[in-house]
Amino acid sequence: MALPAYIDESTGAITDSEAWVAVASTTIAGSPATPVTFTSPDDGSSTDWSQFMDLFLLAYVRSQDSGDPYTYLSLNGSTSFSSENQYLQGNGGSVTAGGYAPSGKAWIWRHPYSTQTANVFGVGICHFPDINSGKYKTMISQSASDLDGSGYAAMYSNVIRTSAPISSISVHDGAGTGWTIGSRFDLFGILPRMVS
Amino acid sequence: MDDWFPLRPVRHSSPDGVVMAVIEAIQTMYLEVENVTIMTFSSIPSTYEHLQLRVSTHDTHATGTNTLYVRLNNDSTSYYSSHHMQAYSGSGTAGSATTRTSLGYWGDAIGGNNLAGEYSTVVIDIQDYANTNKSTVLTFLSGSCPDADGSKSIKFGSSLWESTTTVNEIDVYVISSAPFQRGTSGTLYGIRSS
Repeated sequence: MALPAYIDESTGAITDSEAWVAVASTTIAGSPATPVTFTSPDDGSSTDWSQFMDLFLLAYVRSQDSGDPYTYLSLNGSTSFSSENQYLQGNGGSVTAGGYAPSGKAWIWRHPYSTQTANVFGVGICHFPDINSGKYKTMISQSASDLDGSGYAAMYSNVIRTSAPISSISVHDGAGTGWTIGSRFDLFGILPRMVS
Repeated sequence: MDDWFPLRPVRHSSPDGVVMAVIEAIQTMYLEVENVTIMTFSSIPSTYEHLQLRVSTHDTHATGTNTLYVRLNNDSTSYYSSHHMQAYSGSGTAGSATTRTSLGYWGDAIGGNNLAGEYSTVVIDIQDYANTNKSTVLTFLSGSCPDADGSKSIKFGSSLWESTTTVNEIDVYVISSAPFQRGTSGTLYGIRSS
């Protein structure tokens, strides 16, 4: 088990080091898989989520589905929590806005799918603030994909109303058909200031 | 004639030859009491290339969402301007701007008539904050999904401080009659090459 970098191995003293920690990375290499789930190791190691202030997810995604462009998150293995969503998106011709309240899910991105321009993936980022607090869990996110002149750029705000710390994140393609081979998901933990 | 003069800063490389960014937490503020009006990040070192401020707020303003204001270096003399685009309350879209005011507008803050567990999120990037030849410009991404009156929103915007002074203090406000509540938090990060 690797100690967090902010702990001096020889003295045990707390220090301040690199605040962004690469926690986990998944690249879809085989048969379509959905969802992609990240779980805190809960072991006190350098990648244990209980030490982080925020999480940050970066992904490069395309789905196997023939028509569903939506990426959803669920937290802590549950879709029973109430939720809210607000989005703003543009497709090159118009800008539209709306909101959803899918039970326990946060709509965070739009992604390309199998019947769209070949080999084109979309990029998405998502911020998860104060993941270990008793606050309801909020997310702000952005996505973009260009499809030879079409595609979408978008930004999103979400809340999932659970006050439990975030201990797992599942990233679903909307239809549940599966992520395309080559889709990649990278999760980072963001530490607070450790020493006053 | 080639008009471009390539500037290549001297940077240290990681063992595999890649220039590594370092992101360090400069200061974390976590509010453990109710009714505090200002979140102040002071004595900010000038040794980073950029700053990122990540805040999570809930205040007592009566409406669903409120404005998050910021003043740099406690300077109320130089002008601040801000503009943003947003989606709100479902299908609403808008853009607006404020010009030459004494405070910068950096996003939303969830107000007091919402559930206690609901907080706004704002991520602010302050580029090249120590450069004394540039007025300071920043971008923000702000999101709120309160339940009380449907005033949820997602905003992306920018703000200008008409001063070339190095940023050494950031004061985050809501209006004075609507102070921050317990759990409001913020961390300031510094970004530099290794």
